[in-house]
Amino acid sequence: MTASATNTQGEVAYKGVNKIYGKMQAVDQLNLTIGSGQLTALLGENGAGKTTTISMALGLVKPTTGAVTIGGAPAGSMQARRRIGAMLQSAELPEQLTVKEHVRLFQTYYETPMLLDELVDLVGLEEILSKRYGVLSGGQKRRAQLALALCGNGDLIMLDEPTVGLDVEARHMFWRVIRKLVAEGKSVLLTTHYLEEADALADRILVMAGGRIVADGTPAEIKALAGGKIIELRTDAPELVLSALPGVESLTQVGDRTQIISAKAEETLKALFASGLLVDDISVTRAGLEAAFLNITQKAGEAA
Amino acid sequence: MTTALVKSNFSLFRMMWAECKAEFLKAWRMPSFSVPTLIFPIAFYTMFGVVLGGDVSRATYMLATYGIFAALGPSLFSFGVSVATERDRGWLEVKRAAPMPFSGLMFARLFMAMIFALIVTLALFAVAYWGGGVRLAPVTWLSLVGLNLLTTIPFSLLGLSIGLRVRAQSAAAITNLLFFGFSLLGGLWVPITIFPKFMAIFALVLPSYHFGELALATIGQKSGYVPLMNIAAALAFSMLFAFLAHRAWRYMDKDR
Repeated sequence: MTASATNTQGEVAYKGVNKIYGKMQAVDQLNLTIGSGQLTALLGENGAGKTTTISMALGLVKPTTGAVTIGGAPAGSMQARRRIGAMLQSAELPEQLTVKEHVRLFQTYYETPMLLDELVDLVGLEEILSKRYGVLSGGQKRRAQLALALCGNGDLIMLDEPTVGLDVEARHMFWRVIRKLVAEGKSVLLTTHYLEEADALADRILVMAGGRIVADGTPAEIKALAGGKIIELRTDAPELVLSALPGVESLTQVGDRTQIISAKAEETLKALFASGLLVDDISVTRAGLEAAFLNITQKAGEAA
Repeated sequence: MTTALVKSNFSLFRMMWAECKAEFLKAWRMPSFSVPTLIFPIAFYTMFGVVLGGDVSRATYMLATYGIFAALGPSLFSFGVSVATERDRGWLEVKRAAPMPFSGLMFARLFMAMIFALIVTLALFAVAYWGGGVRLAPVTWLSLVGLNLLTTIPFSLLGLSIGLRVRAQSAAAITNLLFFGFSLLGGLWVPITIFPKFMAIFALVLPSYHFGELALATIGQKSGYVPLMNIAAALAFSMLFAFLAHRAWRYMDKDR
């Protein structure tokens, strides 16, 4: 267990990868290296190609052209599969086995599995260990699924929407586990619908749209792509006039308030006041990841 | 680098043993699977072969055909219904992504179906011996066990070709239809000879009929008769089911 920086076993590399289903290009010319002790969050709307991208790393889907490798081994090979622990979206374990029986079985698949006690501590399995999967609550089921993803002690952990439907407390428990894994030098690839989750956890964010990576950077860099500021105000000025103001990237109506995302908030406001339009109840905030995400995917949509 | 320091725990045998154990526990603990596959053959045989049968020859005859019936249940339901259910629930994807050969999972399942067939076969023997007064040479008892276990293979392949292709609800309907159709129309419940002529002819196109005939030949109910036609038909059906299962497998892997 020396420097995690030298550990490239959990590195996923996509080289010239395309995936075409019939006439639909699910993944479009993907060249990407993910991993090495980082947490990478993959964001995108439904149909953006996230699941296909993950499935190709797991060896469940074969690229139409190009190659995917895990730490140098071809995706889907036994060697590659041993390096990965995965929690797939909406995959339910057989109900008749206990959590312990499930874990014990999965441990036999790996060369150096995590010890049961260690896993119980890490994921918090004490109360559910001897219960059958079928009687667990939603949050407990997710924990059992996480335990299976981690029990092989793989260098790469892939989590597809791991915290969907969890309450805040359970989600934070997941976050703690995920942070601990990254601190131990594991690579984590996460897809999520919760942008605050990506913001809280990720070292790197990839935004996908139409099968392409349309943005790639740290959370701060991605947020900066949105142009930075949200101006919220109440006005009866027509949309056309507002969108013509300098710096304006997009407009959204929220109730009786208008949200303006602006690249240069100061100039937008100056022009707004100079125009003599009636405005009221103004607030200015830094654009969060959500605004950045909408902005990026909208632009990608317009470009396509 | 850590792998070099830590002694490897991996062994293929250990993995397969754990997989077989898990498959058996899963099936055993699911009443909708274990009750029909265990209870139906034993109850039906006790009823029609022993209680209502009345004589030893009837009890002996039906012991053969009910043994095939006992092999049909776990094979068809384990592969037809359970595979489809686990596929619908996304579980098979998890297994395919895990570092275990997927064919290993199928062997574990076949092993489980054989264990169930073996349990029921032995229970049928007990009922036949003590309830029906059936007496057979040791080699005949053993041959029946062997035949029943072999019969699970083609029917598991047939079940697999359903389970990998259709959704769980349709799979349950199709599997039940095949299970009861094969059993009744193939002469496993009552001798085909009491059926009208056209039904006896129809039975010729059912795999269950041919395996039933092989069982009857095993106990000498077909004296002086070499069941070449039945052997050929049983082999042909087995090859057909293997082909269908292979196609279904390829269909599952179509994106790979």
